[in-house]
Amino acid sequence: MLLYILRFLRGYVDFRIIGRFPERFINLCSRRGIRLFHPTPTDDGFFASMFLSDYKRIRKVAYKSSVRLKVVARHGLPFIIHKYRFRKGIVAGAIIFLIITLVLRSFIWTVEINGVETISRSDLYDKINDGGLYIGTYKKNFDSYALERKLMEEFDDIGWMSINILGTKAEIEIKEKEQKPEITDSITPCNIVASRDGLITEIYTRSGKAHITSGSAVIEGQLLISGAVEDSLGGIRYVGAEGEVFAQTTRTMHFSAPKSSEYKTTSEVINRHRLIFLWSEFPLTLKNISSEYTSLIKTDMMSMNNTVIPFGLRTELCSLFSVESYTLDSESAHKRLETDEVLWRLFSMQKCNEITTEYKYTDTKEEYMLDAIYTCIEDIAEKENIIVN
Amino acid sequence: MVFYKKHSYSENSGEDTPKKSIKDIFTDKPHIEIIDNKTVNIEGSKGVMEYSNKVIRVNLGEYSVVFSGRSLALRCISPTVLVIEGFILNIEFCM
Repeated sequence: MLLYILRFLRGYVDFRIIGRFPERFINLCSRRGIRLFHPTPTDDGFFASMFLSDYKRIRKVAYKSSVRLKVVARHGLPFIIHKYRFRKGIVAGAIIFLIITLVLRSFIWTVEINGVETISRSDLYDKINDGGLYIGTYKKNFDSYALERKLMEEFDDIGWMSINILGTKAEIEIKEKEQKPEITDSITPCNIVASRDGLITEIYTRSGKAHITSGSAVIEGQLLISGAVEDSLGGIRYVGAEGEVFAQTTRTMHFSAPKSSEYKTTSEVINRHRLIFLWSEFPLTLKNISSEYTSLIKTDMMSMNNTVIPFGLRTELCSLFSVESYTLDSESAHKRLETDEVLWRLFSMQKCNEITTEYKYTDTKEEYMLDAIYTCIEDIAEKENIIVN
Repeated sequence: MVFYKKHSYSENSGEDTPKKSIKDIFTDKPHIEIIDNKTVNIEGSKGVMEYSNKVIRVNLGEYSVVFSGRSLALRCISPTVLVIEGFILNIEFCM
């Protein structure tokens, strides 16, 4: 492949050798260091190929070996250049292309963050922009070490980071700090009390002394496991009570939906486009909008092999909202209340084992209502510190 | 004029092959390497005397060597090295 590229760049000719002593021609060429390739014999001579620069100095060799040379084909870049030598536009275009390429490679066109898990990417991008690294930053003016120090100071969760400039791409490698494990405090004396009313079903005591048994009814704030333990000598020792107390509890939730309400809807949408080229933006849509419109901006940049090119389109989605009212019928209201109830149960009762649920629908002049009564098994143990004087 | 040492033969091993020395390898005598019947590498060539599809005659100084066969072609040509490719059916040494 490399040989073909070299031959293309230097240019070569296919020619025919006709004469009495073609072998002598080969020998003379090899002795004079003229590279001859693909010599193919024919009845009255042979075909061969040769670099353009070598072909210009074989006239003497051909004369000495009494052969005639006839060019069959020409290949390579020198012939293409010769063919288009009068087309000045192509030359000018090539020079402009080279200049643009050389200028654009002095700027950063892609900023990529790797290794982020818990830190907010948008916050990080904002701070990076404030620190002087954004699309179109001039590479020579950018101090990566200063930005690294600034980010390390501002984000406590960053354990290690490095900014690598690779061509026109800035790669930010971040390694977050390992989170400290949660250490349970088993030294501070405390009791375990009930966090809500219920009927005890199971009790597991790891530390302290249980004051209730299974089947006991408890009220909110009642002592379940005591941190004051009597030792063998009759003295009192205070420990951090630990354990789990499961109880059957009942909780009621109230959901409501108004019979008539107002909502916002989009009445008119206008798209405005702007062309982004390098650091400039050129408007493509000449439409003026009033201040009542709410706009949403979306930017699409062209990319090639994950490298952003400074050419793209910015679309501004301008929406005009109008307020409309609606009246909810009974069936729709029930569906909406059920959805609200399911969502609440899904997110708020994750640690509860639900046993039964009772639903009660009612309605007034203004709203539909749903009362849900849940009976469930849950851990009601809650720590309460003991103040020892 | 180049003088060569007489080949010494191994007595203990009982092999008849002569021991090769550096001089044997880097001599100014022509080297011909034949790979299968399709490629021949010739070092120490003095030029091509005849060249066609069926016959290639190479001058090696004191003698010449004729390769005959079909679809023969010179792959590489330099002042001292030649590479011949094709289906070689016969090799003949001529003084």
